[in-house]
Amino acid sequence: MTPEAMKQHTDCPDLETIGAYLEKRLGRTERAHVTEHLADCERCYFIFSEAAQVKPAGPVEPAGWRERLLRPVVMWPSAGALVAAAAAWLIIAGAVVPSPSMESPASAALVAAVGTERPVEPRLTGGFAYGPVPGALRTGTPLTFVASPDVRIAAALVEKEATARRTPQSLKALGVAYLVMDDVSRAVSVLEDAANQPNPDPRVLADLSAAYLVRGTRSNRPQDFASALAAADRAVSLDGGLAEARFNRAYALERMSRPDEARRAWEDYLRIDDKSGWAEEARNHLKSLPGASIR
Amino acid sequence: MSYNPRTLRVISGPVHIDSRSDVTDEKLFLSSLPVINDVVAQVCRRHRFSANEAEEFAAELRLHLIERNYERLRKFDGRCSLRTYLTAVVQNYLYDYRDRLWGKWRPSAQARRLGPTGILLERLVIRDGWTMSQAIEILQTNHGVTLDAKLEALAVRIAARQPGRQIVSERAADGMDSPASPSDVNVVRVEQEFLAKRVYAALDRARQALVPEERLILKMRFDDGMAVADIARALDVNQKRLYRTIERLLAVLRARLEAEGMSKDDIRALFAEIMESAGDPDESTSGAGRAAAS
Repeated sequence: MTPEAMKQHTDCPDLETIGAYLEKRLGRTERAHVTEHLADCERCYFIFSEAAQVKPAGPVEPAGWRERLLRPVVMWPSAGALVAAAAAWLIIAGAVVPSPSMESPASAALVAAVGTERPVEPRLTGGFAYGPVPGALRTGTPLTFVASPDVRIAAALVEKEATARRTPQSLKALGVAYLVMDDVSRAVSVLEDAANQPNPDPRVLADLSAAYLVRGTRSNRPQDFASALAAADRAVSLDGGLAEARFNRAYALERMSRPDEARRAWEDYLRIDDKSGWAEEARNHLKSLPGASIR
Repeated sequence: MSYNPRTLRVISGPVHIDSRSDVTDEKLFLSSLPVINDVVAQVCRRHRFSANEAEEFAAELRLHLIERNYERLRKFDGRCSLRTYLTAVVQNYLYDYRDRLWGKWRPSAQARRLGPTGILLERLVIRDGWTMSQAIEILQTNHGVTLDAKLEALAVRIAARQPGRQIVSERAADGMDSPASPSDVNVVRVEQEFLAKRVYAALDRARQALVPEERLILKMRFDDGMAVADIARALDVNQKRLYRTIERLLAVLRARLEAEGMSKDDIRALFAEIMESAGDPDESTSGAGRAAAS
């Protein structure tokens, strides 16, 4: 066997050599070496014997994959590639979630992977579906969101996209991904970077507000609630119809123990959304405020 | 990356991707996904994974490929078809995944010879602690498997090996017989186990004297119960010739065992067990087994 072929473990043939063995593509000498190895190596024998029992029928090989491999490195994805990637990831996640046109395919994949789970209590922009806030154990310990492998995959793609292309949009997506992955301090840092750009997107501000709210709750930092309110206020001033910003604004006021303003803020929210699960949650917040009237 | 050892779920830590990787790799991965998914589906069906287990396995495999920056795909340089290569990649991952799933437990040779269903039955009873009737129920309900004669034989053997635990009150325990075998039965069993070990050690020595391809054929046929047609295809040998080769190998083994001083009865018992649990009803092979055992 060639030295290149024996590189996986101490003297194990690489996986492609095992594949070539199965397809009878090896020369006589190399084949004899692999046979000898397979007779004695448990791992390689497992790979070989199990692969031999997988039926050859199935999808054909993707067209042109090798040509793509041989092309020069392309650091910037074409729009078509991104659309294809998005479609593929939506298939992986097994769900199709309508995505606003500004959201990248990786962000859409993250939204799809999260589904109706609720990673954080404030609202995130990008089309996340409603999911109830996780309850708590009898000990009082809150049940936390555990990122599934698909969520981690999508978050990794968002991270990769942001590494390749540092724009306010990709930073926003990265901040949300960090928040979903429970890396709150990095989420705040990245979203602050995105918000500090000239003419920030109101959705960036809404997500920054959510990140402050999560950090404030986790670390018991009241100043974070004030920052969350300020960010949400800026978002609302830029786009009064942005439901996520209004939701987070009301939530921030509630956390700051300003019940009258919080009540008005929840009512403001219900004026733009009175049917969704979020609206139901807003009503519950209203109910919990002292002296609140419910629409 | 870390896993919860009980659920095998990823529990902490962000995923970091090497910034030098490029979109081409990602496109390659995405374009290969239909093949990967198809292979994974076949592997999961073969190994009787439940829907949840299959989903978990598929997701972890994808994560594994991405976390390593698509290195597996990048390494591929077309010495075999992409499908066969990806099949090997999936099996390689399955090998480690199975270790995590099983822990230190390993299936017996008899269970292995019956394939994934035999392994699953043994795993449910021996490793997971289900009673035999519960395990059979799980096989039927969750995996759509009904017991055939070979699986029943395995079930009988497992049940004999693993007397079920009964939870009784302390008072009732005084009046209960011990499930352990009487001492004279234990003595006989120890003698049988000693003899079996001696025979198998001699068989191993005899196998080691064969050429690698012959060892591989015996391993595929009798350790894993693979059909002769599958072995012929995998090793690129003529199927009819393979039947004759197996017949010859069994005769060689018998001669070597006899030369090591094994009695004909011991050899007959050994070959009868191997043939019984290995076999698809291949007339020629069964004939070979009978020939070797006689």
